[in-house]
Amino acid sequence: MRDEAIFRSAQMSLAQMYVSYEVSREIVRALGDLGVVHFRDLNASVSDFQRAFVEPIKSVNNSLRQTRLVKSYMQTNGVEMAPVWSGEQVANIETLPAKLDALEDQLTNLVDSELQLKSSQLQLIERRYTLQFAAKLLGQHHAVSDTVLGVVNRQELAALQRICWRALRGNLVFMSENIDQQVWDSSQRKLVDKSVFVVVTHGSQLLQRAESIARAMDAHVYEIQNSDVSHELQDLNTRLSEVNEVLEQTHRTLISQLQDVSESIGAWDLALQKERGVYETLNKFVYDENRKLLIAEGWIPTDELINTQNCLRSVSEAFQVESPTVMTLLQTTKQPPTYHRTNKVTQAFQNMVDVYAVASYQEVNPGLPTVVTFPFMFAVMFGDIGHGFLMFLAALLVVLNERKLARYQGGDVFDMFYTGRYVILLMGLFSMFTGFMYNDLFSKSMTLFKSGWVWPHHESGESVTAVSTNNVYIFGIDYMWHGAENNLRFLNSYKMKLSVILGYVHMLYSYFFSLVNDLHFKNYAAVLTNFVPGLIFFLSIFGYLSICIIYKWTVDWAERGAQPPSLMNMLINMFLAPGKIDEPLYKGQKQVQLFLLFAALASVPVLLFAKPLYMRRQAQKQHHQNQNQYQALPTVQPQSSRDNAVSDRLVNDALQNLGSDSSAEEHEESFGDIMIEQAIETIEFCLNSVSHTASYLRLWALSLAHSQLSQVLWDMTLKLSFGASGTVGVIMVVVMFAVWMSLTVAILTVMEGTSAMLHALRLHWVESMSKFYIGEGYAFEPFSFASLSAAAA
Amino acid sequence: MSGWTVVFGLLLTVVASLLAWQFAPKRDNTVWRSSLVLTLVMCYLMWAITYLAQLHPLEAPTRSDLRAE
Repeated sequence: MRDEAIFRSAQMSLAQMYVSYEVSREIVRALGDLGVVHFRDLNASVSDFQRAFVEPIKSVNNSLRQTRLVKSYMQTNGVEMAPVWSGEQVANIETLPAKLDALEDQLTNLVDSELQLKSSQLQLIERRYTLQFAAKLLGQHHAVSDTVLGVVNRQELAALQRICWRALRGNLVFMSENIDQQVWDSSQRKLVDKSVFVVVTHGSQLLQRAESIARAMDAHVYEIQNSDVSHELQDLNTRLSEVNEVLEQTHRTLISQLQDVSESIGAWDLALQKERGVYETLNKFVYDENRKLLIAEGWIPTDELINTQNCLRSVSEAFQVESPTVMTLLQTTKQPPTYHRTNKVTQAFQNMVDVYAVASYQEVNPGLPTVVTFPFMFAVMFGDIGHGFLMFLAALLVVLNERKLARYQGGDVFDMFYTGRYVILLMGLFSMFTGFMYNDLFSKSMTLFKSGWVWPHHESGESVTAVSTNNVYIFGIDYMWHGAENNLRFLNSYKMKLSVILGYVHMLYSYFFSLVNDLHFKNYAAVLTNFVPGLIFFLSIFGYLSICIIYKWTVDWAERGAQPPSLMNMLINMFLAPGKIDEPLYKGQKQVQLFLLFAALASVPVLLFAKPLYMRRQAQKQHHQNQNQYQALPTVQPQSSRDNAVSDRLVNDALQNLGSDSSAEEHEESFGDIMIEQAIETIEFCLNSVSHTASYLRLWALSLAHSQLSQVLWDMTLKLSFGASGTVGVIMVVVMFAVWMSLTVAILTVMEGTSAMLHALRLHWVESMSKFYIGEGYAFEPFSFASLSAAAA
Repeated sequence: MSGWTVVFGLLLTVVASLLAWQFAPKRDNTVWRSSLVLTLVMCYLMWAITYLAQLHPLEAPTRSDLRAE
């Protein structure tokens, strides 16, 4: 069974493959379809141009350029591309370049001649209009020789007239007529409105000036011989119809060619892209030219080894090669890549973690608990049933239509929403739960359960204090607090304590992952030197505070007849004036606090010195052992035959060079370095335990701000409209509801939601992940065609 | 209604967590287990804190905008 690989990254094996040259492409293609091998670049020191398969890549790139060209022709001529079936095989991929070359020639010729024909058609059309215009206007007079006739874009017409007027100092007659059909413009490559114009003036100098102005404004100037206009018109029309016919024929040929190729161009494109991937992968292999052998190294998830082996065998059998592809596993000290198997729900959460840093190989993956803790922390800041429900609905809409929307191009914001749809769905759900806890529904409260308070008998406008019924509101905050004058005093105290406890629990939970990591990596020394003293420090200050908060709640202070102590002062006194108890919380408090203070202070030197001292002892032991041992001689390769010796050495050199690229030998650190590092870590840990706990108070601040803002919005919009009555009241309710609803969505849900989300993200990246996350890995990037096929489909 | 409600809630959460652990779907087993148990625990935690905060109130709600009764 396959490992789920979400709590830890999947176990990896480094495999070496000997592939004979004849089947190398088929092998790599099959592995690309399988998509489980992360090939190591064995030629990292060789530049891209010196690798073995540069020429094939050039040729494939050229073919890809040709397919892009064909696609662009199809787009401009409105020919639809047939959808690509991702499993489609292209037979005879070797003949593709020749096919594409011929196709490119044909199509380019057709497109070029179409363009040429279009421009000659344009000239003829424009000339005909000019002639007609000239015949109409100037037919009566015989002064055609003193004119400049032409066609200009209609936008430029007014400017042309004005400039001519100024340049010729009013010494002219300017006339124009709109052409009633749109005319092709070869510089803009589209149909535009144009006009015929005539400038009548006298003197060759002025005429010349008018003509050059017209040409400068992209007008086409046509010479009209003052001979038989009607004859020339006839002539023009015949030529035009000829050109039209040829043009139409060319266009038809082009379209039919494009339609022919539209069936297969998508599949060709996909096959070529795969081909490029294959050659790029082959370039990572060591190529032994004499033996026609390729040597590859790659990381494979251990539970996929059998699949890979089967794949290799089936290809070898299908092509019946003499030397089968051999795969051997290598023992290595190199760090394997990190591979978490995610699904569509966990993917978004994993991305959130990976953006911060990719997990080290096999360490606890923070992406797993984040699935719940992230939306929950968000919800604590965003608690409102109504706003949570809106968010839930929006995400649900996308989730239910995810297949349809997967291809929808809606811009960056939509893409972000789409990838995070399950995150937002969960955020909405948890916000509804916390909304129940805060008893907030669009800032209104619900009276679902029996309240713990009753109002005593009172007069109107009198200040009344509720009387306890000894009942506790069972689920969430009592609705009697809603609208009370001292509502905020109560909620502040509750939410502050809530954030401290939740924050502490979250950090403690994260801290235990460091224990899980240490145990998994058999780093038992770190458990004793780092984890345990850190835990004692963390428990004896903020653990104690959290327990005191809960204990204080369980005591009935009125019954005890004592003053409830201030926990804040208690914690401050615990450090500044040890042993001094102003208001006792419980018996024996003094001894307990002195003990805890001692434990916290005592754990600091342990944190500071234990690890460096332990490491120094280990180093000394190692040193002793090394001195007592002989150094191993480098193993000598038995040289089997002379012919192979040279190439063997070549290959071995290459492999060894590359083996040493990630420094296998541990850099020996001096005791001083370790000490300084540990001192920094200790100080950081102690300070962070304070600052991170304080940082969780943002839960309190944001949730308070959110509930206050929604309260204000209600009071300023919808509540106002309830005062008016009659028609005005009806209109006001409708208008105010629109205002209230749109602001609720825009400000309270989208804006506040974004801000709460960023805060929740920070709580995970900084406060939680700093407790255990190493994050020095690199992602597993298997050579796979899956993404190519998905993009093409 | 007393502090024991919170303990009872804890027991209920533990039982529900055990059931969730046992009967989580076999596909993506770890994800289901982790998410269900974490959800139960966090929801319990928040409920318990909210309940405890109102168990022995140090303050009572006051208003002066009520109609005569």
